[in-house]
Amino acid sequence: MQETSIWTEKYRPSSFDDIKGQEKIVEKAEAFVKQRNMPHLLFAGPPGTGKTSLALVIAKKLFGESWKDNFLELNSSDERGIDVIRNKVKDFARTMAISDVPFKIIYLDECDSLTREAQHALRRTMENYANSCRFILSCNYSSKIIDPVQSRCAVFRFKPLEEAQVIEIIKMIAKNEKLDIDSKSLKTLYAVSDGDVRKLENILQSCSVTSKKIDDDVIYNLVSAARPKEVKEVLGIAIKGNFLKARDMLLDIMLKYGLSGIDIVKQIQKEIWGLEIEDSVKVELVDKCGEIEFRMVEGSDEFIQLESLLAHFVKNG
Amino acid sequence: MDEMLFVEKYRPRKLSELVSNNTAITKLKSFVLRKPRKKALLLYGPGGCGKTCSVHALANELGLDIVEINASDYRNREGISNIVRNANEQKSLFSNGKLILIDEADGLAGNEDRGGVQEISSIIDGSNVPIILTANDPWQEKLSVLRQKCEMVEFSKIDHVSILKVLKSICNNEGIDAEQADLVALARKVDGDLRAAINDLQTLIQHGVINADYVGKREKKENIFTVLKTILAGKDVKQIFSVINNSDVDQDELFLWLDENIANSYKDKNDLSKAYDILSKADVYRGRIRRQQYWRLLVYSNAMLNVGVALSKKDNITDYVQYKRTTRLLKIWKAKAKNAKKKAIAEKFAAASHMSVKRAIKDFDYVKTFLKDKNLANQIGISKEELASL
Repeated sequence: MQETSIWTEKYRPSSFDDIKGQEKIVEKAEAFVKQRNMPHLLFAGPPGTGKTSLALVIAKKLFGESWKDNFLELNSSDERGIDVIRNKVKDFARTMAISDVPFKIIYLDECDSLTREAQHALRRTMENYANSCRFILSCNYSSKIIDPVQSRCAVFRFKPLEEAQVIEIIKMIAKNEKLDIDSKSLKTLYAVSDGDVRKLENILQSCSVTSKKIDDDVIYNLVSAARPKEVKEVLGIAIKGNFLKARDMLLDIMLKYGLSGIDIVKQIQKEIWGLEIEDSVKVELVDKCGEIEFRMVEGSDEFIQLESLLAHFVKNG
Repeated sequence: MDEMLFVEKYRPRKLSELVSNNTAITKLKSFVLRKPRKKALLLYGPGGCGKTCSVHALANELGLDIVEINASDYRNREGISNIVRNANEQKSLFSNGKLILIDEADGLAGNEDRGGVQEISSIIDGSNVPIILTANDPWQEKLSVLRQKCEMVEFSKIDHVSILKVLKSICNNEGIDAEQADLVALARKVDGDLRAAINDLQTLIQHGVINADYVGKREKKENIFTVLKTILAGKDVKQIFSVINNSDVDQDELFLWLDENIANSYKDKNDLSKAYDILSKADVYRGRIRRQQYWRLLVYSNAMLNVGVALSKKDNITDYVQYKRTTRLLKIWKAKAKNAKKKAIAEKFAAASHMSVKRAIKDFDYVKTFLKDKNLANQIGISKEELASL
């Protein structure tokens, strides 16, 4: 395989031992490979904890050289319609495997963004092609997967990586890439990555472009540039009573970063606790956030909902 | 007594005879005289304020033939193109040229006049002859294409003093003795519509009594600005319903206009937050209607939208507010064009690293630093153009 220089790929685990923090799951997966048989699997857990990596390792160990012919990776959040399940998945599932393993594997990433209709279609497909094809589904929240699909899978819950495990990974990469990271910044990297290894590796690679010596300044510079910190500013302006300015800025932020209304509400909710207002008001504003997020799902114009939220900040300022 | 309609008999023959809207008329004249012209001219404003009249007067003054397409013509693609083509082919013998007048452009019917707007728009692109459109409500969605191809000139209602002058001069001319007070009442009653005033005067003269009370007030089609003013400035529920019923403002349009202008009008914090809360509820109804096609909910959505927003405020708003059209849609459109490259890059990055495009876009700011690396960009197929945009 061609050497890739995207670190998330370069340092993607290539064997069961390389997958950190999910010992029990890995143990079971190894057993499946040994027996050359496995049920449908559902991987649930936060991003960057090794779901995709484990699926890839299983495929490589099972099928060896020919893994690419027997493994189909689909991203549900990009192709979430029922058509994908009906066409791509079925086409792949209905042909026989070309290896000594009697089945092929379909890896459906981010299944929680499949529509309910698509999930029902998926359930039938899983049954009909169970002989020739096994599914590995992955999701962040298993609650968003309909029961009939869950009941057809062995469910594996991935845990967020612990600090020590994340730091181990950072040290390994630092050694390989000749990066100089002090012990304080190791902790900072863990903190900003939220235990998400993919995010960690992306941040590390971006930092390394700036400097081989990575300290807190380098990290915070990158992370703060990436997070729309203006949201906090907008809330400040709204609380001071300038609705028109706050509204214009909010629209600009949404468009600049390509964020959806829901993304913005989530961000606002996080920022509320850091605002300089009374705690009782904060609670009320968070409640309003929840109400607005709910209305956003039900309504048709996200920005009108956001304006309504902003007006509430103005009122409570 | 003369059989002729007063509105025809006293139609201005020269621009100088028009009593109001001088700025607009100057713009009109310079448009017709200017060469070359890229766009057409769109005259808009309420009825009876001199839009069509001024075009006729100008053509008369300059000796131009008017090719007129109005609502009585069949205004689909074929109809329009026939009229215009005939006009273009026949050389006019006695005049200095031509002028195409598309009267009441907002009256183009959706179904029957299919293709009309597109045809007009292509005529504008390909014509050397000045093209002038008139409309009462130029903000309709179906006219959006035409708006971009037109210079917009607003005609406003004619003040009652000017109307009074015209009425008086007609009375003089007809040898009618009328009470000043009655003429004033008449001039005020028509709400800036000179044509209506002249028609009313003729009716009264024919009845032999000039008394404004005998003339019923006309029900007028209200434009978006009247609708906004009724909702945002006042709290009179009856009036709001009456204005809404007499307007054909589309609900989605009204959402956008209110969304933009509540903030300009409601300066009180509580009014503001209450109004947006109501607007947000109206939008929830709209969302449910769209998703479930449950049109029963439309009444609730509408009620929240107009009366709900109006009654969110504690007191009437007496300050003058200039209502603005929303710029949000334009901004969104521009941003989309700008984000297209980012999305293309994110797609390639996603494909190379086992992740979804959605996630790649979310993480874009973490990764764009190292995607700038030429070798890496090359490897995952980011084009030079896309690279430059980073």
